Amino acid sequence: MPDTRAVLDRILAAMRERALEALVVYSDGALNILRASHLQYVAGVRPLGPRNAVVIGRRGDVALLVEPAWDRDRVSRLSWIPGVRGTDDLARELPALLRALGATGTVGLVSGDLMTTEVFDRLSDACRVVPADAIVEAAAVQRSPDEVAMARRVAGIADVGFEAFRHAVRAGIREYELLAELEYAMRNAGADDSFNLVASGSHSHGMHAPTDRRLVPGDTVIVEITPVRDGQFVQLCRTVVLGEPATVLAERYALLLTAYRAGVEALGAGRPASGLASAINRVLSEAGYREYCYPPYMRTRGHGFGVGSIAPGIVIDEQTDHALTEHQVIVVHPNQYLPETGYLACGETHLVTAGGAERLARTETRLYVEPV
Amino acid sequence: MQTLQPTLRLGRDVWDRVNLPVAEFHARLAALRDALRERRLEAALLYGRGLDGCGHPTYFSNYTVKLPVAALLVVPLDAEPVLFFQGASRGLPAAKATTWIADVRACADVGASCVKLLAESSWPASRLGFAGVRRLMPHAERRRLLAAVEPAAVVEIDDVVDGQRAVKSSRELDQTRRAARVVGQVMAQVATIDVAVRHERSLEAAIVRAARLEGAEDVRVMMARPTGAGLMFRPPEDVDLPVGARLVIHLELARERYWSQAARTFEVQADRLISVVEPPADAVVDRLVGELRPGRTAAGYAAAAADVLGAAAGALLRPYGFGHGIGITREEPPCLDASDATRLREGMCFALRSAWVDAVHGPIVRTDTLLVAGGRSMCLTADDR
Repeated sequence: MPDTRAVLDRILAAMRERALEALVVYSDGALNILRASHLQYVAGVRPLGPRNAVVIGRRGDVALLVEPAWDRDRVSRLSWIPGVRGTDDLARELPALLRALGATGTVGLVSGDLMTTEVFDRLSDACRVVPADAIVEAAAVQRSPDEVAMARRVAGIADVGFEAFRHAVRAGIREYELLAELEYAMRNAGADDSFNLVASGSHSHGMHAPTDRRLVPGDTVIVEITPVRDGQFVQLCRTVVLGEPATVLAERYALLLTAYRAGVEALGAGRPASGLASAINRVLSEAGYREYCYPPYMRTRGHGFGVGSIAPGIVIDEQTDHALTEHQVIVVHPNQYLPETGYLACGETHLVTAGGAERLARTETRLYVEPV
Repeated sequence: MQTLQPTLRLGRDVWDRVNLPVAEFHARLAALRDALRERRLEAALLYGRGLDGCGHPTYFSNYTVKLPVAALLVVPLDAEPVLFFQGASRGLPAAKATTWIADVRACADVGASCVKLLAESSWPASRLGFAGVRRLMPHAERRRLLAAVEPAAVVEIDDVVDGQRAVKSSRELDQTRRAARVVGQVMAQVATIDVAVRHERSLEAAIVRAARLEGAEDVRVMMARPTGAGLMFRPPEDVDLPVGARLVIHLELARERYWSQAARTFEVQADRLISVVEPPADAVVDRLVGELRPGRTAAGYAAAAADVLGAAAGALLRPYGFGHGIGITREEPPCLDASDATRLREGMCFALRSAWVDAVHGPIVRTDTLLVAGGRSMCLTADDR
């Protein structure tokens, strides 16, 4: 959890700087691995329903509106915000709350791109709305010791998941059964939820939701293991072979490991995020795979994780213009389709440090071989 | 009832073409096109967003989003449909494995991509039917879409699509029966789960696992410990289950796109949960099931349910409602409340809530999935009765 007092102070300072009368932090209730959870970051709780908002007045008054109304008791118990109100009509209540705060001029809106027409129209009837995601994003750059501790904890949950995966993976099991065991282990270890993708076979083109396919000896099984707790994700990318791997698979995986290590060496506070992608692409290009360093053969060389900010974003490539900061959580993954082996998964989540990066998980990325 | 939305639809993702053949989707599309002709519309734009809001595109295409992102199905009157989903092109093989639509396109902005299609298409697009757009599309995206399709006339057709979806085909009813059977099986397993650790989240993990192993693609669990203040449903938390406590478990799951849900009341024992069953509570359920019959309105049912439940039980359920339609989305029209004048019809499926308050031991709460058929309604999740 962030230091809420410090976060609020940073937000209020930014509001003053931009002459905002209030800030509305909106949430559609979804937890999306591809974007920050701004409301959860500010309020310390994830709402249930599709329309919710934190309102911060310029004098520091804070209120939280949640829909449906019956979620109010839960949210009141879990959030630090004293003024939690339940409503069954947020579109009506939100402008009324702003009026009560005297905010009828310029109001900043965070995560407003998620807002549907009814809410936005009512809001913009009540005040002048300007986008303000950058305020929460900037406040979230500095991570508290609790946030760092949570990232470490979630990495431990991912380790538990991968151990369960290795225990369950065998010829005969179906993809969806395998992922059920993975999910079960991580929920028992404390995950709120998880984002797990898989593919199996002799030549995959990418990971997906699990199918009915039964694993057979010789399969290459690739998996993305991403538990989340309190909005913080941590990801492991793993490749497991059922039986002795073909020489070409072992060689190509070794190439990915070299690329991965080069990517990790490029991490460090103050360094450009693009360096990670450049380092990985350089290794693969020198091995003759330059043409495969672009979609659809890969998605990205890494991305950020966090509750209030996922900077440097969901894609780190050679054009990413972002200087890494201490305590950012970054997954480095040269997950890659190669013509000889199909798609392979290889990657770890790291904590950016002053001098480099710290691997968060205890288990490590390598080619895992499970006996048939 | 709202639940936390998962970050990813994690479970088994298959399209069984025996259960839902292409002909089923052709029939749905033909019915939609008939409605478009009646309203002199040249195409329908069916928008869905998020794990709880993708029903319209899914109903006609079988494709569903896995993440909280968008999908848009464009159905011209006299040309092949086009499916857009928000995502990367590497998702195309998995998307195509679960839809019969030939033209599937990955994109960053489904609205903008649709506009491009309309501009390039050879079919007329001067009168368009929109479904799901106003309710679900983010405001800025919708504004751009509306501006881009001008001067076309835009007609809201949610009522058409909702009406079509509300009455299920025989194949849909079979899908719902299969989902309901899994719900029933998992609920029955709850009483066999070793809860020696007596922890809500461990219990949730075991329930989710059981559902996944039965092929559930999406699973939602809510819990409540009835108190004098009401039910207060919430997601499971990091708290122990004290021996002797009453616990209401609400389970929803989707299997091959179709949802079913049930809630049961349990009592926590030293190493397991036992289902709380009382004849008066069963009698209330029977009476409510009897009230849900074709021909009467949703509002008429709500009034009858209020009478059957009485003041105390009615107050318990009031925040969550008496029930609603269920199918390809968790919650869909009609809504069983005083404001919904929809007439109940054969082939509709509902989630139906009931409660009975025991003066000594507290309430017994129950939800079931029901099918309206044969002049009455039947419970699909009643394995324990």
